[in-house]
Amino acid sequence: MCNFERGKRWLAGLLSVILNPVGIDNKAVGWIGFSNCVAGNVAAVVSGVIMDRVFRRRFKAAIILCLSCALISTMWFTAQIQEWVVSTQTLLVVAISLNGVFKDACSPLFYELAAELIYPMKESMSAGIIVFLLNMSAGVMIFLDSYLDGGGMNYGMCGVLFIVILFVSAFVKEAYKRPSAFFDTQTNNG
Amino acid sequence: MMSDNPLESLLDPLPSTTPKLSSKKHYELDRRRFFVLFQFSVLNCNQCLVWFSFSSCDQDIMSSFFGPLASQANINLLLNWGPIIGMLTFLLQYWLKWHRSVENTFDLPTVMKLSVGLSVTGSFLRLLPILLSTLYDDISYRQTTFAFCCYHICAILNAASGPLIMGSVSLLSATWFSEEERTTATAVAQTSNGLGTTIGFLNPILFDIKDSTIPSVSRVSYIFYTTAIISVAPLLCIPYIPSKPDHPPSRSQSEKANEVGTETASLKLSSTSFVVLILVCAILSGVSDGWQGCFQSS
Repeated sequence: MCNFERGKRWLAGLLSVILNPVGIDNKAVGWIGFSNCVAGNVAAVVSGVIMDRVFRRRFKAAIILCLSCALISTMWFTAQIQEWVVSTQTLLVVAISLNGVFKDACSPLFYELAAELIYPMKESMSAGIIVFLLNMSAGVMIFLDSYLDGGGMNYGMCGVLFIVILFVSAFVKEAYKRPSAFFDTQTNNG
Repeated sequence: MMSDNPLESLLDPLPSTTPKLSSKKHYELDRRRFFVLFQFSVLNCNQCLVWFSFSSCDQDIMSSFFGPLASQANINLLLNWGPIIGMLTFLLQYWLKWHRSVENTFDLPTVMKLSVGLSVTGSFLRLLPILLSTLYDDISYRQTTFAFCCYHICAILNAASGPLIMGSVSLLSATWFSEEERTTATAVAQTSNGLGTTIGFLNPILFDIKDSTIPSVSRVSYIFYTTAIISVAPLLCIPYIPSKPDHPPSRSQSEKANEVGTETASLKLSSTSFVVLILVCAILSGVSDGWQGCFQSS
Protein backbone atom coordinates (compact mmCIF):
# COMPACT_ATOMS: atom_id res chain seq x y z
CA MET A 1 0.00 0.00 0.00
CA CYS A 2 2.45 2.63 1.11
CA ASN A 3 4.81 1.65 -1.69
CA PHE A 4 2.17 2.31 -4.23
CA GLU A 5 2.71 5.99 -4.76
CA ARG A 6 6.38 5.57 -5.51
CA GLY A 7 5.27 2.97 -8.03
CA LYS A 8 3.23 5.61 -9.79
CA ARG A 9 6.10 8.04 -9.89
CA TRP A 10 8.60 5.60 -11.31
CA LEU A 11 6.04 4.49 -13.86
CA ALA A 12 5.50 8.11 -14.88
CA GLY A 13 9.26 8.58 -15.08
CA LEU A 14 9.78 5.43 -17.09
CA LEU A 15 6.88 6.13 -19.43
CA SER A 16 8.03 9.66 -20.12
CA VAL A 17 11.53 8.39 -20.94
CA ILE A 18 10.04 5.80 -23.28
CA LEU A 19 7.25 7.80 -24.82
CA ASN A 20 8.41 11.42 -25.02
CA PRO A 21 10.96 10.74 -27.78
CA VAL A 22 8.20 9.30 -29.97
CA GLY A 23 6.11 12.44 -29.71
CA ILE A 24 3.74 11.57 -26.86
CA ASP A 25 3.48 14.46 -24.42
CA ASN A 26 3.43 14.30 -20.62
CA LYS A 27 -0.34 14.62 -20.40
CA ALA A 28 -0.76 11.50 -22.52
CA VAL A 29 1.95 9.77 -20.48
CA GLY A 30 -0.07 10.63 -17.37
CA TRP A 31 -3.17 9.01 -18.83
CA ILE A 32 -1.23 5.92 -19.93
CA GLY A 33 0.22 5.63 -16.41
CA PHE A 34 -3.26 6.07 -14.98
CA SER A 35 -4.61 3.32 -17.25
CA ASN A 36 -1.86 1.00 -16.05
CA CYS A 37 -2.75 1.64 -12.44
CA VAL A 38 -6.44 1.11 -13.11
CA ALA A 39 -5.53 -2.20 -14.78
CA GLY A 40 -3.78 -3.24 -11.55
CA ASN A 41 -6.79 -2.26 -9.43
CA VAL A 42 -9.18 -4.07 -11.75
CA ALA A 43 -6.91 -7.14 -11.75
CA ALA A 44 -7.09 -7.34 -7.95
CA VAL A 45 -10.90 -7.25 -7.95
CA VAL A 46 -11.17 -9.65 -10.88
CA SER A 47 -8.90 -12.13 -9.09
CA GLY A 48 -11.19 -11.87 -6.05
CA VAL A 49 -14.27 -12.59 -8.17
CA ILE A 50 -12.58 -15.51 -9.95
CA MET A 51 -11.47 -17.01 -6.63
CA ASP A 52 -14.99 -16.74 -5.21
CA ARG A 53 -16.75 -18.11 -8.28
CA VAL A 54 -14.36 -20.66 -9.77
CA PHE A 55 -11.31 -21.47 -7.67
CA ARG A 56 -12.55 -21.42 -4.10
CA ARG A 57 -9.96 -22.77 -1.66
CA ARG A 58 -7.25 -22.74 -4.31
CA PHE A 59 -5.37 -19.77 -2.97
CA LYS A 60 -1.94 -21.38 -3.07
CA ALA A 61 -2.27 -22.42 -6.71
CA ALA A 62 -3.60 -18.98 -7.62
CA ILE A 63 -0.75 -17.20 -5.82
CA ILE A 64 1.85 -19.40 -7.54
CA LEU A 65 0.18 -18.86 -10.92
CA CYS A 66 0.06 -15.08 -10.53
CA LEU A 67 3.65 -14.90 -9.29
CA SER A 68 4.83 -17.13 -12.15
CA CYS A 69 3.15 -14.82 -14.68
CA ALA A 70 4.75 -11.84 -12.91
CA LEU A 71 8.12 -13.60 -13.17
CA ILE A 72 7.69 -14.25 -16.90
CA SER A 73 6.72 -10.59 -17.46
CA THR A 74 9.76 -9.41 -15.50
CA MET A 75 12.07 -11.76 -17.43
CA TRP A 76 10.59 -10.48 -20.69
CA PHE A 77 11.12 -6.89 -19.56
CA THR A 78 14.73 -7.65 -18.55
CA ALA A 79 15.40 -9.42 -21.87
CA GLN A 80 14.10 -6.35 -23.72
CA ILE A 81 16.25 -3.98 -21.68
CA GLN A 82 19.31 -6.19 -22.40
CA GLU A 83 18.26 -6.31 -26.07
CA TRP A 84 18.17 -10.09 -26.12
CA VAL A 85 14.72 -9.98 -27.73
CA VAL A 86 12.81 -7.53 -29.90
CA SER A 87 12.20 -4.40 -27.91
CA THR A 88 9.81 -1.57 -28.70
CA GLN A 89 8.28 1.11 -26.51
CA THR A 90 4.90 -0.59 -26.64
CA LEU A 91 6.34 -3.97 -25.69
CA LEU A 92 8.19 -2.46 -22.72
CA VAL A 93 5.00 -0.84 -21.45
CA VAL A 94 3.10 -4.10 -21.98
CA ALA A 95 5.74 -6.13 -20.10
CA ILE A 96 5.87 -3.76 -17.14
CA SER A 97 2.07 -3.49 -17.01
CA LEU A 98 1.64 -7.26 -16.99
CA ASN A 99 4.08 -7.45 -14.09
CA GLY A 100 1.95 -4.95 -12.14
CA VAL A 101 -1.32 -6.63 -13.06
CA PHE A 102 -0.22 -10.06 -11.83
CA LYS A 103 1.34 -8.74 -8.65
CA ASP A 104 -1.79 -6.71 -7.82
CA ALA A 105 -3.95 -9.76 -8.56
CA CYS A 106 -2.02 -11.62 -5.86
CA SER A 107 -2.53 -9.12 -3.05
CA PRO A 108 -6.06 -9.98 -1.84
CA LEU A 109 -5.16 -13.68 -1.97
CA PHE A 110 -2.37 -13.19 0.57
CA TYR A 111 -4.80 -11.49 2.96
CA GLU A 112 -7.47 -14.18 2.64
CA LEU A 113 -5.11 -17.16 2.94
CA ALA A 114 -3.42 -15.58 5.97
CA ALA A 115 -6.85 -15.14 7.62
CA GLU A 116 -7.61 -18.82 7.05
CA LEU A 117 -4.27 -19.96 8.44
CA ILE A 118 -4.56 -18.27 11.84
CA TYR A 119 -8.27 -18.74 12.49
CA PRO A 120 -9.80 -18.47 15.13
CA MET A 121 -7.73 -15.37 15.65
CA LYS A 122 -9.48 -12.32 14.28
CA GLU A 123 -8.98 -11.49 10.61
CA SER A 124 -7.71 -8.07 11.65
CA MET A 125 -4.72 -9.76 13.28
CA SER A 126 -3.54 -11.49 10.10
CA ALA A 127 -4.15 -8.43 7.92
CA GLY A 128 -2.62 -6.19 10.59
CA ILE A 129 0.59 -8.22 10.63
CA ILE A 130 0.77 -8.17 6.81
CA VAL A 131 0.33 -4.39 6.75
CA PHE A 132 2.94 -4.04 9.52
CA LEU A 133 5.46 -6.02 7.48
CA LEU A 134 4.60 -4.11 4.30
CA ASN A 135 5.28 -0.87 6.15
CA MET A 136 8.50 -2.33 7.50
CA SER A 137 9.69 -3.32 4.02
CA ALA A 138 8.78 0.17 2.75
CA GLY A 139 10.76 1.63 5.65
CA VAL A 140 13.80 -0.52 4.84
CA MET A 141 13.65 0.52 1.19
CA ILE A 142 13.77 4.20 2.16
CA PHE A 143 17.28 3.57 3.47
CA LEU A 144 18.39 1.16 0.74
CA ASP A 145 17.05 3.24 -2.13
CA SER A 146 20.26 5.09 -2.92
CA TYR A 147 22.34 1.88 -2.98
CA LEU A 148 20.27 0.09 -5.61
CA ASP A 149 21.37 -0.19 -9.20
CA GLY A 150 18.79 -0.43 -12.00
CA GLY A 151 20.53 -3.03 -14.19
CA GLY A 152 21.30 -5.40 -11.31
CA MET A 153 17.84 -4.95 -9.84
CA ASN A 154 16.22 -6.41 -12.97
CA TYR A 155 18.01 -9.68 -12.26
CA GLY A 156 17.39 -9.25 -8.54
CA MET A 157 13.65 -8.90 -9.11
CA CYS A 158 13.58 -12.05 -11.27
CA GLY A 159 15.60 -13.94 -8.66
CA VAL A 160 13.41 -12.86 -5.77
CA LEU A 161 10.24 -13.78 -7.66
CA PHE A 162 11.73 -17.20 -8.41
CA ILE A 163 12.74 -17.80 -4.78
CA VAL A 164 9.38 -16.56 -3.53
CA ILE A 165 7.57 -19.01 -5.80
CA LEU A 166 9.80 -21.83 -4.51
CA PHE A 167 9.16 -20.89 -0.89
CA VAL A 168 5.39 -20.65 -1.33
CA SER A 169 5.38 -24.01 -3.12
CA ALA A 170 7.53 -25.74 -0.50
CA PHE A 171 6.60 -24.19 2.82
CA VAL A 172 3.07 -22.83 2.60
CA LYS A 173 0.62 -25.57 3.36
CA GLU A 174 -2.95 -24.53 2.73
CA ALA A 175 -5.23 -24.94 5.71
CA TYR A 176 -8.74 -23.56 5.54
CA LYS A 177 -9.63 -23.29 9.19
CA ARG A 178 -12.62 -20.98 9.03
CA PRO A 179 -15.79 -23.08 9.31
CA SER A 180 -17.49 -23.41 5.97
CA ALA A 181 -20.99 -24.32 4.87
CA PHE A 182 -19.54 -25.87 1.73
CA PHE A 183 -16.35 -27.64 2.78
CA ASP A 184 -15.02 -29.55 5.74
CA THR A 185 -13.04 -27.42 8.13
CA GLN A 186 -9.25 -27.94 8.07
CA THR A 187 -9.44 -29.07 4.46
CA ASN A 188 -6.24 -28.85 2.48
CA ASN A 189 -6.64 -28.48 -1.21
CA GLY A 190 -3.02 -27.81 -2.00
CA MET B 1 -31.02 -19.47 7.50
CA MET B 2 -28.27 -20.32 9.92
CA SER B 3 -29.37 -23.73 11.07
CA ASP B 4 -26.29 -25.57 9.82
CA ASN B 5 -25.48 -28.68 11.78
CA PRO B 6 -21.79 -28.68 12.74
CA LEU B 7 -21.74 -32.49 12.91
CA GLU B 8 -22.94 -32.76 9.36
CA SER B 9 -19.50 -32.13 7.93
CA LEU B 10 -17.99 -34.89 10.04
CA LEU B 11 -20.56 -37.43 8.92
CA ASP B 12 -20.48 -36.53 5.29
CA PRO B 13 -18.84 -39.29 3.23
CA LEU B 14 -17.88 -37.09 0.28
CA PRO B 15 -14.20 -36.31 -0.28
CA SER B 16 -13.19 -33.14 1.45
CA THR B 17 -12.31 -31.39 -1.77
CA THR B 18 -15.81 -31.77 -3.19
CA PRO B 19 -18.25 -28.96 -2.52
CA LYS B 20 -21.17 -30.40 -0.54
CA LEU B 21 -24.03 -28.86 -2.43
CA SER B 22 -26.59 -30.86 -0.48
CA SER B 23 -25.47 -29.26 2.76
CA LYS B 24 -25.40 -25.74 1.39
CA LYS B 25 -27.14 -23.46 3.79
CA HIS B 26 -28.37 -20.03 2.96
CA TYR B 27 -27.26 -17.47 5.44
CA GLU B 28 -29.20 -14.28 5.53
CA LEU B 29 -27.20 -11.52 3.92
CA ASP B 30 -27.62 -7.91 4.88
CA ARG B 31 -28.14 -5.56 1.95
CA ARG B 32 -26.31 -2.86 3.87
CA ARG B 33 -23.04 -4.76 3.32
CA PHE B 34 -22.52 -3.00 0.00
CA PHE B 35 -23.01 0.36 1.66
CA VAL B 36 -20.53 -0.60 4.41
CA LEU B 37 -17.99 -1.73 1.82
CA PHE B 38 -18.48 1.46 -0.19
CA GLN B 39 -18.03 3.66 2.86
CA PHE B 40 -14.94 1.68 3.89
CA SER B 41 -13.50 1.98 0.39
CA VAL B 42 -14.04 5.76 0.34
CA LEU B 43 -12.23 6.00 3.68
CA ASN B 44 -9.40 3.79 2.47
CA CYS B 45 -9.11 5.59 -0.86
CA ASN B 46 -8.99 8.99 0.83
CA GLN B 47 -6.35 7.79 3.30
CA CYS B 48 -4.02 7.26 0.38
CA LEU B 49 -5.06 10.50 -1.36
CA VAL B 50 -4.21 12.46 1.80
CA TRP B 51 -0.99 10.50 2.27
CA PHE B 52 0.65 11.49 -0.99
CA SER B 53 -1.00 14.86 -1.70
CA PHE B 54 2.31 16.70 -1.35
CA SER B 55 4.05 14.31 -3.74
CA SER B 56 1.35 14.29 -6.40
CA CYS B 57 2.78 17.36 -8.14
CA ASP B 58 6.35 18.29 -9.01
CA GLN B 59 8.45 19.67 -6.18
CA ASP B 60 8.93 23.05 -7.88
CA ILE B 61 5.17 23.50 -8.10
CA MET B 62 4.81 22.58 -4.42
CA SER B 63 7.56 24.97 -3.37
CA SER B 64 5.91 27.75 -5.38
CA PHE B 65 2.70 27.16 -3.45
CA PHE B 66 4.05 26.27 0.00
CA GLY B 67 7.22 28.36 -0.01
CA PRO B 68 10.85 27.44 0.68
CA LEU B 69 9.94 25.02 3.49
CA ALA B 70 8.49 22.67 0.88
CA SER B 71 11.93 21.21 0.14
CA GLN B 72 12.31 17.74 -1.32
CA ALA B 73 13.49 16.46 2.08
CA ASN B 74 10.39 17.86 3.80
CA ILE B 75 8.07 16.44 1.16
CA ASN B 76 9.80 13.05 1.45
CA LEU B 77 9.37 13.14 5.23
CA LEU B 78 5.64 13.83 4.82
CA LEU B 79 5.53 10.71 2.66
CA ASN B 80 7.74 8.61 4.93
CA TRP B 81 5.54 9.19 7.96
CA GLY B 82 3.36 6.55 6.30
CA PRO B 83 5.53 3.48 6.95
CA ILE B 84 7.11 4.88 10.16
CA ILE B 85 3.85 5.68 11.98
CA GLY B 86 2.20 2.69 10.31
CA MET B 87 4.58 0.31 12.08
CA LEU B 88 4.26 2.08 15.42
CA THR B 89 0.47 2.08 15.28
CA PHE B 90 0.29 -1.66 14.81
CA LEU B 91 2.76 -2.24 17.66
CA LEU B 92 0.61 -0.02 19.88
CA GLN B 93 -2.52 -1.93 18.86
CA TYR B 94 -0.80 -5.22 19.58
CA TRP B 95 0.50 -4.03 22.96
CA LEU B 96 -2.92 -2.75 24.00
CA LYS B 97 -4.55 -6.01 22.99
CA TRP B 98 -2.14 -8.55 24.46
CA HIS B 99 -0.48 -6.66 27.31
CA ARG B 100 -3.24 -4.33 28.47
CA SER B 101 -6.18 -6.58 27.60
CA VAL B 102 -8.02 -3.82 25.75
CA GLU B 103 -10.42 -6.20 24.07
CA ASN B 104 -11.79 -4.02 21.29
CA THR B 105 -8.41 -2.91 19.90
CA PHE B 106 -8.91 -4.87 16.69
CA ASP B 107 -12.72 -4.69 16.53
CA LEU B 108 -14.24 -3.34 13.35
CA PRO B 109 -16.51 -0.64 14.88
CA THR B 110 -13.70 0.73 17.08
CA VAL B 111 -11.19 0.73 14.25
CA MET B 112 -13.63 2.36 11.84
CA LYS B 113 -14.61 5.17 14.22
CA LEU B 114 -11.00 5.82 15.14
CA SER B 115 -9.90 5.87 11.49
CA VAL B 116 -12.69 8.25 10.49
CA GLY B 117 -11.81 10.53 13.42
CA LEU B 118 -8.11 10.58 12.51
CA SER B 119 -8.88 11.13 8.84
CA VAL B 120 -11.26 14.07 9.39
CA THR B 121 -9.06 15.72 12.05
CA GLY B 122 -5.95 15.42 9.91
CA SER B 123 -7.58 16.59 6.67
CA PHE B 124 -9.07 19.72 8.24
CA LEU B 125 -6.00 20.53 10.31
CA ARG B 126 -3.81 20.75 7.23
CA LEU B 127 -6.51 22.69 5.40
CA LEU B 128 -6.51 25.41 8.08
CA PRO B 129 -3.39 27.33 6.90
CA ILE B 130 -4.52 27.05 3.27
CA LEU B 131 -7.99 28.30 4.21
CA LEU B 132 -6.52 31.26 6.12
CA SER B 133 -4.37 32.13 3.12
CA THR B 134 -7.44 32.13 0.90
CA LEU B 135 -9.63 34.10 3.34
CA TYR B 136 -7.06 36.82 4.01
CA ASP B 137 -5.54 36.66 0.54
CA ASP B 138 -2.09 36.25 2.08
CA ILE B 139 0.10 33.36 0.97
CA SER B 140 2.32 33.57 4.07
CA TYR B 141 -0.24 31.72 6.22
CA ARG B 142 0.32 28.49 4.33
CA GLN B 143 4.11 28.89 4.21
CA THR B 144 4.93 29.40 7.90
CA THR B 145 6.59 26.91 10.24
CA PHE B 146 3.26 26.63 12.08
CA ALA B 147 1.58 25.67 8.80
CA PHE B 148 4.19 22.94 8.25
CA CYS B 149 3.60 21.69 11.79
CA CYS B 150 -0.05 21.29 10.80
CA TYR B 151 0.93 19.42 7.62
CA HIS B 152 3.21 17.07 9.55
CA ILE B 153 0.66 16.42 12.30
CA CYS B 154 -1.90 15.65 9.61
CA ALA B 155 0.54 13.26 7.92
CA ILE B 156 1.11 11.50 11.26
CA LEU B 157 -2.61 11.23 12.07
CA ASN B 158 -3.35 10.00 8.57
CA ALA B 159 -0.47 7.51 8.73
CA ALA B 160 -1.87 6.18 12.01
CA SER B 161 -5.21 5.51 10.35
CA GLY B 162 -3.50 3.54 7.54
CA PRO B 163 -2.83 0.25 9.35
CA LEU B 164 -6.16 0.51 11.17
CA ILE B 165 -8.02 0.62 7.86
CA MET B 166 -5.81 -1.71 5.83
CA GLY B 167 -5.60 -4.14 8.74
CA SER B 168 -9.38 -4.47 8.70
CA VAL B 169 -9.96 -5.46 5.08
CA SER B 170 -10.31 -9.19 5.82
CA LEU B 171 -12.31 -8.56 9.00
CA LEU B 172 -14.78 -6.37 7.13
CA SER B 173 -15.39 -9.00 4.47
CA ALA B 174 -15.70 -11.78 7.06
CA THR B 175 -18.12 -9.75 9.21
CA TRP B 176 -20.48 -8.67 6.44
CA PHE B 177 -20.07 -10.97 3.42
CA SER B 178 -20.89 -14.58 2.68
CA GLU B 179 -18.23 -17.18 2.02
CA GLU B 180 -18.87 -16.84 -1.70
CA GLU B 181 -18.28 -13.10 -1.67
CA ARG B 182 -15.49 -12.83 0.87
CA THR B 183 -12.44 -12.73 -1.41
CA THR B 184 -14.12 -10.25 -3.75
CA ALA B 185 -15.01 -7.99 -0.81
CA THR B 186 -11.45 -8.22 0.53
CA ALA B 187 -10.10 -7.40 -2.94
CA VAL B 188 -12.35 -4.34 -3.27
CA ALA B 189 -11.57 -3.11 0.24
CA GLN B 190 -7.84 -3.67 -0.19
CA THR B 191 -7.47 -2.25 -3.68
CA SER B 192 -9.42 0.89 -2.81
CA ASN B 193 -6.24 2.06 -1.10
CA GLY B 194 -4.34 1.69 -4.36
CA LEU B 195 -7.24 3.35 -6.17
CA GLY B 196 -6.61 6.42 -4.04
CA THR B 197 -3.18 6.86 -5.53
CA THR B 198 -4.45 5.96 -8.98
CA ILE B 199 -6.97 8.81 -8.81
CA GLY B 200 -4.41 11.09 -7.23
CA PHE B 201 -2.09 10.34 -10.12
CA LEU B 202 -4.41 12.57 -12.13
CA ASN B 203 -4.27 15.52 -9.69
CA PRO B 204 -2.21 17.72 -12.04
CA ILE B 205 -4.54 16.87 -14.93
CA LEU B 206 -7.82 17.11 -13.00
CA PHE B 207 -6.98 20.47 -11.45
CA ASP B 208 -5.05 21.76 -14.45
CA ILE B 209 -1.81 22.30 -12.53
CA LYS B 210 0.70 22.57 -15.33
CA ASP B 211 3.61 24.69 -14.17
CA SER B 212 4.88 27.06 -11.49
CA THR B 213 2.95 30.09 -12.76
CA ILE B 214 0.57 31.78 -10.29
CA PRO B 215 -2.84 30.84 -11.77
CA SER B 216 -1.71 27.24 -12.17
CA VAL B 217 -0.06 26.91 -8.76
CA SER B 218 -3.02 28.43 -6.91
CA ARG B 219 -5.07 25.43 -7.96
CA VAL B 220 -2.91 23.18 -5.74
CA SER B 221 -5.29 24.16 -2.92
CA TYR B 222 -8.08 22.24 -4.68
CA ILE B 223 -6.25 18.98 -3.86
CA PHE B 224 -6.50 19.79 -0.15
CA TYR B 225 -10.12 20.99 -0.29
CA THR B 226 -11.12 17.83 -2.13
CA THR B 227 -9.54 15.42 0.36
CA ALA B 228 -11.10 17.31 3.29
CA ILE B 229 -14.56 17.14 1.71
CA ILE B 230 -14.18 13.43 0.93
CA SER B 231 -13.10 12.73 4.52
CA VAL B 232 -16.47 14.01 5.77
CA ALA B 233 -18.45 11.42 3.78
CA PRO B 234 -17.55 8.40 5.98
CA LEU B 235 -18.15 10.56 9.09
CA LEU B 236 -21.72 11.25 7.98
CA CYS B 237 -22.26 7.55 7.31
CA ILE B 238 -21.03 6.32 10.70
CA PRO B 239 -24.39 6.79 12.56
CA TYR B 240 -26.17 4.69 9.92
CA ILE B 241 -23.74 1.78 9.97
CA PRO B 242 -24.28 -0.89 12.60
CA SER B 243 -21.26 -2.62 14.11
CA LYS B 244 -22.32 -5.92 12.55
CA PRO B 245 -25.17 -7.36 10.51
CA ASP B 246 -28.34 -8.58 12.27
CA HIS B 247 -27.62 -12.16 11.21
CA PRO B 248 -24.24 -13.83 10.68
CA PRO B 249 -23.54 -14.01 6.93
CA SER B 250 -21.53 -17.24 7.07
CA ARG B 251 -20.88 -20.32 9.13
CA SER B 252 -17.57 -18.98 10.41
CA GLN B 253 -19.32 -15.89 11.75
CA SER B 254 -22.20 -17.80 13.34
CA GLU B 255 -19.83 -20.15 15.16
CA LYS B 256 -17.44 -17.40 16.09
CA ALA B 257 -20.11 -15.85 18.27
CA ASN B 258 -19.64 -18.77 20.66
CA GLU B 259 -15.89 -18.66 20.70
CA VAL B 260 -15.35 -15.91 23.21
CA GLY B 261 -12.02 -16.36 24.94
CA THR B 262 -10.59 -18.89 22.54
CA GLU B 263 -8.42 -16.38 20.75
CA THR B 264 -5.70 -16.18 23.33
CA ALA B 265 -5.56 -19.95 23.61
CA SER B 266 -5.15 -20.35 19.90
CA LEU B 267 -2.05 -18.42 19.02
CA LYS B 268 -1.30 -19.51 15.52
CA LEU B 269 1.27 -16.88 14.74
CA SER B 270 4.13 -19.37 14.82
CA SER B 271 2.58 -21.52 12.08
CA THR B 272 5.29 -22.05 9.43
CA SER B 273 2.85 -21.56 6.57
CA PHE B 274 1.62 -18.28 8.02
CA VAL B 275 5.13 -16.98 8.73
CA VAL B 276 6.41 -17.89 5.25
CA LEU B 277 3.31 -16.41 3.60
CA ILE B 278 3.52 -13.03 5.30
CA LEU B 279 7.31 -12.80 4.89
CA VAL B 280 7.02 -13.61 1.20
CA CYS B 281 4.35 -10.93 0.84
CA ALA B 282 6.53 -8.31 2.57
CA ILE B 283 9.79 -9.23 0.81
CA LEU B 284 8.09 -9.22 -2.58
CA SER B 285 6.63 -5.81 -1.89
CA GLY B 286 9.91 -4.38 -0.64
CA VAL B 287 12.02 -5.70 -3.52
CA SER B 288 9.42 -4.60 -6.08
CA ASP B 289 9.51 -1.18 -4.53
CA GLY B 290 13.30 -1.05 -4.77
CA TRP B 291 13.24 -2.32 -8.33
CA GLN B 292 10.68 0.27 -9.37
CA GLY B 293 12.57 2.98 -7.50
CA CYS B 294 15.52 2.37 -9.84
CA PHE B 295 13.44 3.54 -12.80
CA GLN B 296 12.49 6.77 -11.12
CA SER B 297 15.91 8.17 -11.84
CA SER B 298 16.02 6.94 -15.43
